Amino acid sequence: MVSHSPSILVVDGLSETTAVLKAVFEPRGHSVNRVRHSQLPNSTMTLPRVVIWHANEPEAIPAAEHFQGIPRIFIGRADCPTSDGETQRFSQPFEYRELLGTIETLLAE
Amino acid sequence: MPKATLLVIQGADQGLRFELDGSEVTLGRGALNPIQLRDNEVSRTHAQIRFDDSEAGFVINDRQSSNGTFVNGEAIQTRKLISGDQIAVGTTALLFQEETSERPVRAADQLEVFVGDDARERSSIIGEVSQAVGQQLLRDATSILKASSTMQTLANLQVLYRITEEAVAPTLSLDQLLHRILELTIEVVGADRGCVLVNDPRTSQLTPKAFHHRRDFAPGSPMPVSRSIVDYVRKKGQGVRTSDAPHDQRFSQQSIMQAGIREAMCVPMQGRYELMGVLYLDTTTPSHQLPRLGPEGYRFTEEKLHLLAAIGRQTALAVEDHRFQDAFLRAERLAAVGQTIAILSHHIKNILQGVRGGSYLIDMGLKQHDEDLIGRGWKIVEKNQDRIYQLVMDMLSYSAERKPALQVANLNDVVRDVCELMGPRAAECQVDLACKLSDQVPDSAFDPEGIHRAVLNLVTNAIEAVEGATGGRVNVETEYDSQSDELVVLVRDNGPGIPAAQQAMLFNIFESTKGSRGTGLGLAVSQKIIREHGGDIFVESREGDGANFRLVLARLDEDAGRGSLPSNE
Repeated sequence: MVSHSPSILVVDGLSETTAVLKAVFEPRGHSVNRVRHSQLPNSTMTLPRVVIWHANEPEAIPAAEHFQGIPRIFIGRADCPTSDGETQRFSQPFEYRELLGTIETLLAE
Repeated sequence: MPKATLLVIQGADQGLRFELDGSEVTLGRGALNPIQLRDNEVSRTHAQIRFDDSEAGFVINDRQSSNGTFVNGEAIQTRKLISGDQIAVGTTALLFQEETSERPVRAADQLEVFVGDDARERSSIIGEVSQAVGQQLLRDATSILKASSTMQTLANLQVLYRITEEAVAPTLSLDQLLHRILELTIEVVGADRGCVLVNDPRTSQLTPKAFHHRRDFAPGSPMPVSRSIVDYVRKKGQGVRTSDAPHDQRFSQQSIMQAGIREAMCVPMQGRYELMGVLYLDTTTPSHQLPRLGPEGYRFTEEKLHLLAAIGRQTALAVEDHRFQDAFLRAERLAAVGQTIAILSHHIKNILQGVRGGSYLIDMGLKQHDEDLIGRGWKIVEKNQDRIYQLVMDMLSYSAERKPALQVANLNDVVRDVCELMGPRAAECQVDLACKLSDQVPDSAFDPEGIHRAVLNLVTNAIEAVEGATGGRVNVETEYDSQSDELVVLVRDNGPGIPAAQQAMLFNIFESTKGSRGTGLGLAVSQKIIREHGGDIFVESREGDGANFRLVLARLDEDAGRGSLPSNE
């Protein structure tokens, strides 16, 4: 049985994204971790509550299936598909205010 | 100041262009040569080029090279260079091109195209030849050689051979090529002057592209060209020969009469797919001044018309090929510019995203009066300032034809600086960065700033390759190989390694194995800097087994740092 902890997982992308999320969410009791998609799937990993996925490389996306059922945010190129019910999408450069607002909403669900 | 360029047209440095400003420069494989060639068959200081006032031109001198210096295939000690000369050293060939300060002479300024009466003009054409005759001339060469006109045929073949050789020789512009072909044609046909009119693909109009006259012929007024003859040749696709122009109704126009045209020939330049233009020759020299006339009393014989038709065909193929190459080059250049803009935009966008993150935290910290948050935000902004600085420096290093600023220094000092600089970054990425410097490394002349950048890029890549992995390790070492007298920097990581397929493209500009995080500039810049020093970078890697980068630099004598050149071999 895999337990859910109040955590945010950042896959790939800029370390700055993780740094901002840590500064904002860790004081609120959420843990923020960053991994490379090549290190996924990792069976020992505790499933996060929200996954932030930098997906500039399209081949990285299939690995996202590992997080089936977990709210996902894709950050990618401007030509990425638009958001749907399960997945929120952002294209760079985005406003952190919007990203943080989306994460807050997903964490609150 | 006189200016010229040397374009490497063959060899490992193919495509490199060196500018000559008239001052004395040396070429060779040694790092201190302004024209440095990566060719082991080239001596360290192979030859010297300077502008010679007494020769009023650039002169090349062989510097007692092992394998010699050749200009247009001929071994030389000293030779004045003229535009279009090909210099061969070792396995490298360079095309010399002089820039003239004089206003280039436009062919159009030297031609006058007249409109005449079509019907009358055709009545004066005494010889016509189909465009297929040129090709026939080549096909029948073997059988003709066995026949009585062997000498003439052989001479014609020699001309065609020279024209063909000229047509496939590297030239910088179509105008130059046409001018050279016209020069050869006038020489062998014995015309006073000639011109090439080329079909403009956009307007379908014939445009004067080249004009030339015999060396001892004073052209005076512009060369008159009969528009009717040109149109006839163009329409029929046949070469024509006219003679006895003073009694020819076609030349009744006063200007042409005054120009004193005696004979003229015009042939189509039939390409593979369309007519590329026409080749037009005339002569004005009165017959009593000609030392020897042809068998029919004309200088322009039927034989020469056939030869000219063959030359027209060769010229057309050359024009076609030149246009194809030009279009190909333009397309490649546009694609490269597009790729460059896309990659740089992407990287700048990443940096902008980083700055936005830092700014967001600073803004938040200011609103909440939280200094810790402001500090964290500022750290991110600073990091991205550094990224944009590194990006700009890499771009400058790659784009500028910068010369290494040689000074005597110790490689260990440079490598130590890099390790100290990258220590905090390695710690942040939880990477163990170890630096092992050999005390055997002697002082050498090199550009410390350039080498610093080259090593920094390798170490940055290595850290990023193991970032986030458990037990990530990067070892940086220096060595001195006393046998080869070379300085070595080794950068090893225990990351995922580089697949064999990627290794071949690793040093190509904008090829990055780091996905969105890489600019694809780092390794290309490092390689460029090291090669400017006469060295190279080698990589060994197996997928899943880390990567070893080996940077090798030839040790240069201490006096090299003060500008002297190393010994020749």
